[in-house]
Amino acid sequence: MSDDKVTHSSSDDATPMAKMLFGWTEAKSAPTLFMVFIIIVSIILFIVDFFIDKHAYKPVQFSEMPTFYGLYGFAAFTFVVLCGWPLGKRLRKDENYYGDLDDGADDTPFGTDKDEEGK
Amino acid sequence: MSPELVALLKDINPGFAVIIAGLLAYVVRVGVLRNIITIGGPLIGLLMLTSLSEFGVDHGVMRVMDLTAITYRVDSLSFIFALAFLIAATINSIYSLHAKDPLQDACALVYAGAAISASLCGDLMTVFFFWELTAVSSVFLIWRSGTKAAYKAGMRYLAIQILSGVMLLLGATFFLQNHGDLELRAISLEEPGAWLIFIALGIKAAFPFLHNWLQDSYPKATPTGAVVLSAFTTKLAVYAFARMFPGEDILIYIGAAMTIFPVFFAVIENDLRKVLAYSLNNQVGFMICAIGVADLSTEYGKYALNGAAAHAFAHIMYKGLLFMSMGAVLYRTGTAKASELGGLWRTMPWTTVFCLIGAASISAFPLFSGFVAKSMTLSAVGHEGYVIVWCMLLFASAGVLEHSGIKIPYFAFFGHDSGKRPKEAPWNMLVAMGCSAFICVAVGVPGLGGVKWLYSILPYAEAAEYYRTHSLWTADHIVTQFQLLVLAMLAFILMKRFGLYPPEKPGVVLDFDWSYRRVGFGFAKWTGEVWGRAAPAMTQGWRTLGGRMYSQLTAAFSPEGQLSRGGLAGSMAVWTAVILGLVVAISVISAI
Repeated sequence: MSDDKVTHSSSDDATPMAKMLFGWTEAKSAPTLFMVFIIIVSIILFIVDFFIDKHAYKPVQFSEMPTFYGLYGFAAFTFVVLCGWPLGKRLRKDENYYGDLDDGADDTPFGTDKDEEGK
Repeated sequence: MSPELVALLKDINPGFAVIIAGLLAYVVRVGVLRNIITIGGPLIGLLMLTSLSEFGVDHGVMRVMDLTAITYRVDSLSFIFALAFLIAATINSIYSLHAKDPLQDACALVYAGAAISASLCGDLMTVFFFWELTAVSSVFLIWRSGTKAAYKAGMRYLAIQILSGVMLLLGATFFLQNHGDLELRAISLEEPGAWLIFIALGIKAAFPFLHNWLQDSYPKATPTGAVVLSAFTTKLAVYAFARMFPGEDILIYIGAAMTIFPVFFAVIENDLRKVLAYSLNNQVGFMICAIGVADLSTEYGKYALNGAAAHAFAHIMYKGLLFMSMGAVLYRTGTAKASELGGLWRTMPWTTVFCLIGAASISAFPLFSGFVAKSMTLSAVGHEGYVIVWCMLLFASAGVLEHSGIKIPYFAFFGHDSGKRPKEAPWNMLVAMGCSAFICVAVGVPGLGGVKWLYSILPYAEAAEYYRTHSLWTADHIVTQFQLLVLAMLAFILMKRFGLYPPEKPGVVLDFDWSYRRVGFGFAKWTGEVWGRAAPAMTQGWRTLGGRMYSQLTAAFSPEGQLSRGGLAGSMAVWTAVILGLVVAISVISAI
């Protein structure tokens, strides 16, 4: 319920152009519908793959195997993202780890709107 | 235009027009006039290159210290790089109009002009001059941010860029010794000193372990500065590699490594401009790999060089577009951190659209520029039998979709609602993004003429045309590319849905620069502290030792000393005579 309220009020802030282009993303069912859409497109691409004539170069002829690219893309993407968990734990440190940040000072770079408002 | 003026303009490197515009931009303080100069300079350069240039003819030849400097030479390789640089410089000038900052305008144009000049000259000495000018002029775009972090990053950036220049200079001396002149040509790594040039170029191309200057400095530049920086330095290095080391095997593996490792850093990085810097690294990897395959005696070697050049052109446009969209976000919200952004589509719809076009282009979706640019490289690598490298490039293509295709637009403009409601980007930023987006689409959609035009200006246009008509728009190429990307998108959606996607958290992600920023700096600090403590004790020790030696020597050799007492003229004279006698005796014996 409260989610609905938040969604409603945040959508009201959108400009008319924004609502026209991306307003659909605000709908509660949008993520599910988008997922279903992508699944349907994936299935179509897999089916089409069996009927097209492929011309892979000899050394990489294994890529002619149906659904190779789709499965490879899915596996590669999943692997990269899942690696983010251990890598994040090992490599992410405090923002001022190198002591570069100004103590207590505003770290907004020169030339931003925020910077100009501050003048 | 009078024939004399045409003849004069034909002799001048178009990069000079951009540099002069930069110098004028600093002096002229009338806003409108400065705007005309900053946009007009690159436009004049564009006209000079496209209308007046003569392929294969040396212009502006000078003798400097018994060496020949060829300040202007165009051929099919340099043309496309210089053209991309000039278009980028023009668009960047439009993007920076709101800033009204003479220093940034001047540095951006001098930097761009130096890169253009370097890509259009014909000898290593002139390249070295402009190579250094790019370093010195661009650092101000980082320092201009005015933060402590930007100042330190700028110092590190300058140090490594100057190091690259020094190595290039040293390499050039060997080059001169090997060839008798400094005219730019392809060389082998087996030549003495060639490795110096190779590493100098490798620093600017951000090779693995030499790459940190890029991720360190670009995200700390001003919103407009990062856009300018993204276009020139690394692509100038790519051009130099294509010119000097085409077909060098080692580049294949370096390039393949470059495409892979940034993907893992980008997935955990919170600063979206730093994500783009990693993405830049990854894209340059594709170009470097292509240059490694580019054995120009083979048909597929020519495809590979075409692939590198086409990729460089397309990349300058879409990477600039992505940096512009993040620059607009930073400009309006004061931050580019994923953890602080989200939901900006509500008030920045045009910036969102342009960012999505950049994201689709870099991900190589069919109908966008990345698709027509990247495919020649993959074809050449596959044909030449580098199976593992081919698999790595395919893996990296899915990785690109993750960090630049999805992460950048999703976390900035969609995702969770950050509650931020900034104004849309200023009109000039929108115009600049619109120009870049137009190019991304125009060279991607068949039938608009853009693909044909891009392929016609590639170094081996005939081979490119053959590829375009026979391999580019085939059903299997389009379907397999869609498969790769759509299934990767599905992986993203599923992982988000099931909470498997790592959350965006603030923090610094350690990379190889940890070795010198933490370990190296720590060692230097420790050495300093040890010296600080040891120095007084050592000074005292030296003083005592010195005092004792002085006393001993005085006691022995002074007029009142031990050796001056007794004998005809004191012991000193006797000993001197003995030593002299010995020296004479040894000399005589050795002479016999």
